[in-house]
Amino acid sequence: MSRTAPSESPGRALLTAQDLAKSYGPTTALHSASFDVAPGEIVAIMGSSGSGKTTLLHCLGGIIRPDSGTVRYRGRDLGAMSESERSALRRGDFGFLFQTGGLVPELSCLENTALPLRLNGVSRKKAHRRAADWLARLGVDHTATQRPGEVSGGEGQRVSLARALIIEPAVLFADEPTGALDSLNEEKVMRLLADAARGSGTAVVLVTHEARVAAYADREVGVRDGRTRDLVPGAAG
Amino acid sequence: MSFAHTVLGLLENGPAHGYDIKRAYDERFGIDRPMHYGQVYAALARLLKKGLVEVAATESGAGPERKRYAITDAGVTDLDAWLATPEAPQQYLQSTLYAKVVLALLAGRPAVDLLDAQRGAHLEAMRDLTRRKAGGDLAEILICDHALFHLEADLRWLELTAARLDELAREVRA
Amino acid sequence: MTGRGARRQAAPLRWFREAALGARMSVSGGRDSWARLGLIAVAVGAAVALLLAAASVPTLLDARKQRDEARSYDMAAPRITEPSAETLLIAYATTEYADHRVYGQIVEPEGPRPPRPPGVAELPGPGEMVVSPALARLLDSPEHRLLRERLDYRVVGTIGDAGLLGPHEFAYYAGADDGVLSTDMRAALVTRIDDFSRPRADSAADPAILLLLVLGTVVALLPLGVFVAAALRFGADQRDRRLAALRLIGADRWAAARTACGETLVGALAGLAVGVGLFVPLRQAVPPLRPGGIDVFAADIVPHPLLAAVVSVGVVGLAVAVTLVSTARAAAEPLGVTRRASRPRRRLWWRAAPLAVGAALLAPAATGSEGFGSGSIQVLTVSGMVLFLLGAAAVTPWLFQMMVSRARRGGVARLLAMRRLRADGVAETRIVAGVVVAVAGVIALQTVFAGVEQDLADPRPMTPGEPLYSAKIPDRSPAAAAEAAAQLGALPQVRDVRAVTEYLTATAPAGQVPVRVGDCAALREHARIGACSDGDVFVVDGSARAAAGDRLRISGLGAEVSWTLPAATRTVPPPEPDDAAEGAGASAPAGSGGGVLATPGAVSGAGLPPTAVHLAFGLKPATQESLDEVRTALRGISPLAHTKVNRMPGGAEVIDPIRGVLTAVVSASLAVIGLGLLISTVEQLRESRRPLAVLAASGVRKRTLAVSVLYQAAIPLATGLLVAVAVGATLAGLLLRVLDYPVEFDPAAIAAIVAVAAAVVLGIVLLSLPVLTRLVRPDNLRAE
Repeated sequence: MSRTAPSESPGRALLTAQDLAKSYGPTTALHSASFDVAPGEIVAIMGSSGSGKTTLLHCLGGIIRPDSGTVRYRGRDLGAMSESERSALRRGDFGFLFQTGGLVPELSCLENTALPLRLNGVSRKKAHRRAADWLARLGVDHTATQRPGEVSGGEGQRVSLARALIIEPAVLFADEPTGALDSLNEEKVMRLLADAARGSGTAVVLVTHEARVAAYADREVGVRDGRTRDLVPGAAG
Repeated sequence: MSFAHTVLGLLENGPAHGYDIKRAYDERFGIDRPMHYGQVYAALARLLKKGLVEVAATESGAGPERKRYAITDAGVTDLDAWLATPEAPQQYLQSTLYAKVVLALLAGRPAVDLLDAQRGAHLEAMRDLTRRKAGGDLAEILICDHALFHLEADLRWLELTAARLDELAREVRA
Repeated sequence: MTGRGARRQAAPLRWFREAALGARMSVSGGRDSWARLGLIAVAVGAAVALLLAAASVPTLLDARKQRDEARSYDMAAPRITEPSAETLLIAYATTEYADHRVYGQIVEPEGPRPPRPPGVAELPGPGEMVVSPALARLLDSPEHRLLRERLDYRVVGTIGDAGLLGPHEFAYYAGADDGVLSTDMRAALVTRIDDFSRPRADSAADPAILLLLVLGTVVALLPLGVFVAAALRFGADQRDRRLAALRLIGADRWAAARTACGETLVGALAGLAVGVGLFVPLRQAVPPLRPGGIDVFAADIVPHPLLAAVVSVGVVGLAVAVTLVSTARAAAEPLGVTRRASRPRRRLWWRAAPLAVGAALLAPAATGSEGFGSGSIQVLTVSGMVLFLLGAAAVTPWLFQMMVSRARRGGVARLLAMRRLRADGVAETRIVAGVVVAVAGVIALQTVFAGVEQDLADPRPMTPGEPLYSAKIPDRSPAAAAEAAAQLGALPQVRDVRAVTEYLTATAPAGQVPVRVGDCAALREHARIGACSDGDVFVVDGSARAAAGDRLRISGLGAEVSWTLPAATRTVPPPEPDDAAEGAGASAPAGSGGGVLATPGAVSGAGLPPTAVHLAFGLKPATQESLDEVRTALRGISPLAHTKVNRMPGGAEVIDPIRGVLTAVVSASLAVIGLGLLISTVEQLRESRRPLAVLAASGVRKRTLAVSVLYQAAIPLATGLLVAVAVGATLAGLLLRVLDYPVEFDPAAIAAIVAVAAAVVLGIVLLSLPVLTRLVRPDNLRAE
C-alpha cells in the first residue's frame, strides 16, 4: 500500500482554489475558502451539512462559477475558461461521484460506465470492453446488463465509481459517495475508491461529514460557515 | 475484558498448553497488547483453584515440565453465564477532554484551536486504523472497526461541542 | 489527458451518435419509457393525421375541379356548327330540388360515335336516363315524388365515379325526346360538342367567407401545433435529470441538447408513423360519414406533397425547437435541477409581445379601407391572427403565477393544490395552453360567424333590378309564350306572371338591338312606358339604336323575319334605378335593358320565330316546397325550362356548409386536444406518484387528494379560460372591423363555449381519478 505524502509546496499542486466566495440569493454558502490538492493525493473536505462543502466541491469541479476568487487546474484559471472548455475538462480530466442519481436510469450499467468514453468519441466496442474491465475491477461485472434501478445501492455506487474512473481522471470529485450506504457497503466502496485512485494516480477531492470516510484520505480540510481551515494532524500534542 | 474468562473460552475448543493459549490469545485479541506468560499462568492458577479447569496431562520431555489444561463442566457453566451477561455500556462521564475545554474557556484561551487540534489527532489515529484495516485479516478489521467507531463517536462529540462552543462559553463564564 | 479533445470524431458523425444515444435512452427505460413513448406517439399521431387531412384539402379541391372540368363543355362559345357522326347535342338541365342541387344534362347523339361524358358507359336513348347512385336512391324513395315527376325518364344505367364530384352527388344524363334539342343550335341552352372537358376559371371568394375559412383553419390547426409541442414534453422532468447526468460527465450543452433532440425525435417520428397509420383508415371513413356534409371520394383525399412535407418537417422541426427551448435550463447547468434557490419571475413584457405584435399586424386591415381584399393584407391578417392566438397561450402562465402567488386562503385540498402549482405550475399551464388557444379561436370564430351570418341574412338579389323568381324556356314563339305563361299562371302558387319573348340579336340599320315582346305589365319592367295598350311599340331612350320606320331583321329558331317599326313608336325613358341596383344600371349588360319593346298585338302579323321566353312570376306561399312544385310544372311545359331565383346565396347555402366543415374540423381538433389532456393528466399524476403516496401514507384522505387534483386542474384552466375569453373577443372585434361589420358579441354563446371547454377538462380530470386511486396506495412509497 503506497502512501502518498501530502504536498506542502503549492508548485506541485494540481488544483488550487483561492479565497472563493459564493452566495445563493441571500444565503452565503462560501465566505473565503481556499484549497489545494496534489496529483494522486486524497483530500477530504469535512464539515457539517450547510457548511458549504458541497458548494466548494462544485466550484472546484467547474460546475458552478464562484462569485469571487479563483480556481486553477494545472495553472489554468477555470473562471476564464469557456463553458465548452470546462465541459471538455469534465469529459477528460475530472470524474464525479455523487451520493445518488448520477446514473442514467434508461441505460444498462455497462452502457452507463461506457458513457464518458462514448462522449469522448471512443468506439462502442472499445468503450464497452473497457467498461466491462472496470466493472470487473470493482466487483460488479454481474450488473453489466442490468439497469441502475435493478441493482443495490452499493452496487450502483460502484458502477458510478467505475464510470467516474473509466476516463482515468486526474481528479475525482466525490460528494458524500457513501451517504446512502450502510457501513459494510460504505467500507467496500471507500476501499475500492481509495485503492483505484491510488492505483491510477488520481487525486481525489472527497466531501463528507463522516470521519470514518474521511479517514481514507491523506489529509483533511475542514469547512465551517463557508470558511476552510486546515486540520493539521498531530498539532494536539 | 476478563482474562480468566477469555482463557476459559479458548480452552473450550479443547485442552491446550499455556503456551498455546497465549498464542491463540495474541492472534485473536492481542493486537495492541500481547499477553504475558505470567498473566496466563496466574489466570490458570485461579481457574484451577475454583475448579473451572483441570490439568489433563503432564508431559515431561527435554525442556521444562509442560501441563495440558482442560475445561471442566463447572467451567463450561461459568463460561455460559459470562457470555450471556451483557457488558455494561461504558459511560464516559469523566472526560479529560471535557475538562480541558472548560478550563480553556474559563481561562479565555481559544477553545476552538484545542478542539481542532484534538480533531486532527483523532483523525490521524483513524487514518492509521483505516490503513491497518487495508492490510489486515478479518479479525484485525473487526478490532480496527471497533476502535474506529469509538474514535468517530469522540469526533462527533468534538464537532458538536465546537458548534456549541459559544453557548458553552456563556454558561461557563456565567 | 487534456489532449483527448483532439481525438474526437468529425462533428456530423459525433452528432449522429449523440442523437442516437438519446434515441436509445427514450426507449430503453423499461415499461415507463415505452408507455411515455406510446403516449407521445398517439398524441402526436392524432394531430398528424388531422394535419394530413387538412393538407389534403388543396389536392381534394384540385381533384374536384378536374372531375368538374372532365364533364364540362363550352356553353358560351360553341366551336362546332355542323352535325357529324361524332357530335352530340347537349343541353344544361341542372335543377334544384329542396336544398339539393341535381346536376343534369339532356343529350341527343347526332351520329353513331357521339362523345360520352366520363362515367357513362352508354348514352341514354330518348326518354331514358342514367343517374348517379345517390340520385337513384333518392328517386326510389316515395317521399320524393315531386322529383320523380320532374325527371320523367326511365332509369337505364348508373353514372360511374369518374363522372361524379363525390359519391353522394345527385346527377343524371337524360336522352332527349326526338326534336327537343335538334331544332336549332341558336337556342341558348343547347350546345353541339364532339368532346367533353373544358378548363374552368376559379371564382373569387367573398372576402368575408375567405376570412371565415382562414380563421377557421387557424383555429382548427393552431391548437394542434400547441398541443403537439406540449405532447413532446411528456416526461420532461426525467429527461432533465438525464441531461444533468450527461452534463456532469462532460457533455457540453450542445451535446446534451443533441442527445435530448435524439430522444424527442423518436417520439416525433413514432408520432408521424402513427399519424400516417391513422390517416389511411380516417380517409376511408370520410365518404360514408360525410363530416360537415362534405362529399368526396376517398381516392381524392391525398395530402398535397408539399404540405405533407411541411407537416412532416414541421413536426420534426417543432420537436427540435421544443426540445432546445425546454431543455435550455437543464442543459445550461450540469447540476440542472438539483439546486433551485429561486424560480425566475415570469416577465409580462415578452409574454405580451405576441399579443401586441398580432394586434399591430391586424390594425391596417381593421382601420384601412381596403378590407380583406388584397394579398398583403391577407398575409398580415393571418399572421396577426396566429400571433394573437399564440399570445393567449403565452400570457396565461404569467397571469397564472400572479393568481397563485396572491392566493392565501382555503382548505387543505386547496392548500396542497396551490403549493404544488406554485412549485411546479408550468407543466399544468403548458397543457392548458392548447385549450386556451382553441377556446380563444372558437370564440373569435363564433363571433365572426354571427356577424357574417347576420350580414347575409337579408337576401340580396344576384342581379339587381331583376325579378326574384323567373323561368327561361328556350324555344317559344310569342304566341306560344303567352300559352306557357297561362299554363304557369294556372298553378295555385303562382301569381302575376309576366312573359317576355326575347330576340337579343335583332339587326337594325344602325346595328344590333334587342327586341322584347310582352304584354304591357311585362314591358313595364324594362322601361317607364306610361300609358300602354296592346299594339303599342316603344324604343327605350339612351341605349336605342332604332327609330320609327326602321326595318328590323329578327332571327330566332330556324327562321329570320323582317319587321318594320310602326310610326306610332314612342321613345320612353329607361326604368327607374332600383334601390338595390345602386348604380349598377350604368354597367348593365347590353342585352338586359333598353332596345325595342313591343306588345304582342304589334308583332302578331310578323310571324316571329320561336326564341327564348322569360317568365317572371311571384310565388305564394314562397316556400321551398311550392318552388319545387313550380319547377316540376315548368319541366312539364318544356324539358329545357330553367327556373332561376334571383338571390345571392344567403345564410343557408353559403354559411351552412362552411359551418359544417369548420365544426367538424374544430371538433376533431378539440377531440385530439382532449385526448392529449387526458394523457398528460395521467402522466402528470404518474410523475407525482411519490409525493401523492407520501401524503396518502401520512393520513391525508383520498377525497382531499382528489379534490386537490381537481383544484390543480381547475385553477390553471380558469386562468386560461379568462385569457381565452378576453383574447377571443378582442380578436373577433378586430376581425369584424376588418370586414366593416358592426362589432357585436353574443355573451350566451361565449358562455356556452367556455362552459363546454370547462366541462370537457374537468370531465377529463374525473376520468383520471381512477389512476389517482391506484397511485396513492402506500406501496408506491417504495417506487423508483
